[in-house]
Amino acid sequence: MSTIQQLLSVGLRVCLCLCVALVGCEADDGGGEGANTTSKTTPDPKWPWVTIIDTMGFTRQKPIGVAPGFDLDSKISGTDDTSTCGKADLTSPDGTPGVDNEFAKLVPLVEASGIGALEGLIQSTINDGGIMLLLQLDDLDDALNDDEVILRVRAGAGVPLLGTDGLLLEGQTFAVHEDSPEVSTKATVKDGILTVTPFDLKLPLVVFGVKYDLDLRGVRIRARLTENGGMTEGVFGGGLTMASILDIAQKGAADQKNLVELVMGVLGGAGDLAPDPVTGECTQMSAVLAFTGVNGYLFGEPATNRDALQP
Amino acid sequence: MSPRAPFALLLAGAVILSGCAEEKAATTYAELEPAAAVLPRLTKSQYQHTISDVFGDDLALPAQLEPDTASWGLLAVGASVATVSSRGVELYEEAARSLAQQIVAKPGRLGDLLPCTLPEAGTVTCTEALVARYAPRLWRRPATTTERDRIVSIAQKAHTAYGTEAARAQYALVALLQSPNLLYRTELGKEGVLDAWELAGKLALFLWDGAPDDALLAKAADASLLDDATLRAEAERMIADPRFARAVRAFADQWLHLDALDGLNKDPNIFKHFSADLGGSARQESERLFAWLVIEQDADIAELLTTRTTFVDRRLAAIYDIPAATDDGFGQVELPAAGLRRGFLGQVAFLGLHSHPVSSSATLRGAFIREALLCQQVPLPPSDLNTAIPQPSETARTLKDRLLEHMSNPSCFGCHHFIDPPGFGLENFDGIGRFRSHDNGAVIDAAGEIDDRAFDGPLALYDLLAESEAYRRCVVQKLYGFANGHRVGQGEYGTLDRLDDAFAAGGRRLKALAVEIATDPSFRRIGAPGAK
Repeated sequence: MSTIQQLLSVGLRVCLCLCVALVGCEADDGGGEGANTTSKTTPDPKWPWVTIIDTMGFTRQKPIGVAPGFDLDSKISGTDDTSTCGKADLTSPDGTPGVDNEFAKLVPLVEASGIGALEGLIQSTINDGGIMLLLQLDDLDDALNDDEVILRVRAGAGVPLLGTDGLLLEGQTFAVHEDSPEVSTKATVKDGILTVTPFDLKLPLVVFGVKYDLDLRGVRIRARLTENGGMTEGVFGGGLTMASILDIAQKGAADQKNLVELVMGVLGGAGDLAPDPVTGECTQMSAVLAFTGVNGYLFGEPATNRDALQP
Repeated sequence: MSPRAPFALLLAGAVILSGCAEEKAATTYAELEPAAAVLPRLTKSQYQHTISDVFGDDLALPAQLEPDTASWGLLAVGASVATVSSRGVELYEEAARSLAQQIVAKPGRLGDLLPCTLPEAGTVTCTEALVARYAPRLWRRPATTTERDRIVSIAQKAHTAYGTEAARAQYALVALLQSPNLLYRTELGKEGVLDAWELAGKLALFLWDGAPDDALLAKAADASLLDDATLRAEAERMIADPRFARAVRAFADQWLHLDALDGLNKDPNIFKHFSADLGGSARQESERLFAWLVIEQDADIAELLTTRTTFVDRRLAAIYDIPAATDDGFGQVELPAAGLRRGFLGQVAFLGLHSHPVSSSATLRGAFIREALLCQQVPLPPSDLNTAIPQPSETARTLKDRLLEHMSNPSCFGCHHFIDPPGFGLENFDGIGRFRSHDNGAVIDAAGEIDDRAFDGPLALYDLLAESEAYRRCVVQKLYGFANGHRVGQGEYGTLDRLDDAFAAGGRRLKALAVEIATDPSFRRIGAPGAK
């Protein structure tokens, strides 16, 4: 096994699996059966359904230097920028410069070690309930244009139901994780695209029975809303703290000290955000996640009237 | 004419009208011509409940028995006409041996089975006591002397061969359990009327789906059960007993075809919400709703089609697109007030079962409504008829459009015009029961008509059916058939009218109807061979 392959085994796989919360993939159409069953443009703000993220995957540079993402630090950086520890920004597919998505540059390393298996691990972690991210919109009056919306972000708990396609079943009910973050952030909808005010998120995850806390800073979300206020696809990104990467690596490869060192050797130098004022080391690594989601409910919510909507 | 004359005329008219009303109130019903005696076999659930009633519910009951067959939509009626195959005989024999072995093997059980104290144990008298104790509950009557002696003889031979008291008890039990007196309901009566034992057995199978208890048997033994007041009191006692829930479930299973749900299958490429256990969940949902309405709520049976209450697990809740009440099993929920889903016709048990594996079917749904809910006869298609409906086209995109196009063929029109329109009202639900507003990209038109009464959408259909006389009478017919093990015959129409009137006057409550049927003379009387 090569050094790179070793790196990507066990600890790194877990690490990357968790980091996927910051990385994106080509989003599938997550609209399940009945997803287009409504024709009402303005959703009832009292509808309590949540969007549960059912797939996550990696974004890639395609071509080199181009990847989806956000300008997390509000600057366009080159390799000579010390505030990004010398990490040059990428350009988004629509040509917007300043995209912070350092993790996309690591994807080739991951692919060299068998990306398919890793993505399978991510999906199985989602399917097992190990990564359960619940997004809920409050005060949404118009799914096309609305200046004042609140996005709530929480973590779910329990074992999700799967559909015959192997993905989370639409319309199911979830419990909120006892250690769930309670994040509420302002959001706006313009032409059916939701964007949010950056927020920090500590997300509890469970991989192979081990609990981790994913510490994300300055998280942003961009998602397309359906006519009924659901989110079937989108991206979110932010800064993954290097401290949480180290914590994850140590837990994921607790019995392999050398491996931890190797993981940190690769990821430890990948920070591109939030330089330490004293040491100058970047304490966060930017990453962007693309996701698809399905609508669900939370226990304790009253029945709603989605199926009452008539054309 | 005096000024008072018009008033007097009016008064006279009122008296005449009043007299008419009184005459109507005292409706006379056609005299009962009882159906001929039949020899029904116990249904699988009756067999299993009988065993657990007598020997406890900790036995491993035989999973495989001769399959039940439905006739007129009811297993109880099918049990009167179905024969037992040679394989079925083997299964009952295996069941008897397995059960007897388990019963004897229970710790401390032998003393119960052979209720004698040593050194008497093992005597003929001891085996006689076993027969005397268990035959009435298993056979629904005591064993005759001849029958008892045969069992004693079998038990004695077993004791001789194996040399143990356990073998004696075990073979006595095998003989009891293998007897046709257990498997068949011998309700032949004397001079056209059931005797007290037959009546007790029939009552237990109808109201408990199982064996009579000691209290009921005591009233059979002293023949007090033949007294009308005693019979009514017993029937009322029995419907207040938890065992009544089994009969309610059995009736729901048969009437609503819930037993077929165990084989529910859908194309997983089309229906993402399908799972192998969905049929079982759907069956539970309908059984729970039915029992809740009938037993807990003592509700108008119309509510079976109109209630917003249901009981769902997480998967069913996902299919209905509503929050589940609990993460663990089933919970009671209220369907959205503004939604289109109500009652049994809004459940997967109906919508999924009466559909094709790849699509909904207005025809299958309409046929169920006609046959099971309205007791109307749906003709079978001629064997040489091409029943395939047209493929979707620009002019006929929805299933309804395609069926209407299909009806343009005169040879298809007759049946489909009768069957399909009620099913059109449920086209907003796909082949697994998920709501949809479009079919094949076109907006669904859920309007239809049934028996010349138009409706627009599922809610109107539920109400129309729930309040229809045909539905009400059909409930009476089905429960009557379930109780008596035969399809309602012409000679019973008057009885049916009387029961229906009482049912309607009493608020269409199934518990009261069950008591009325159990205490009606028709429950006890049997006709001569060949009677219809």
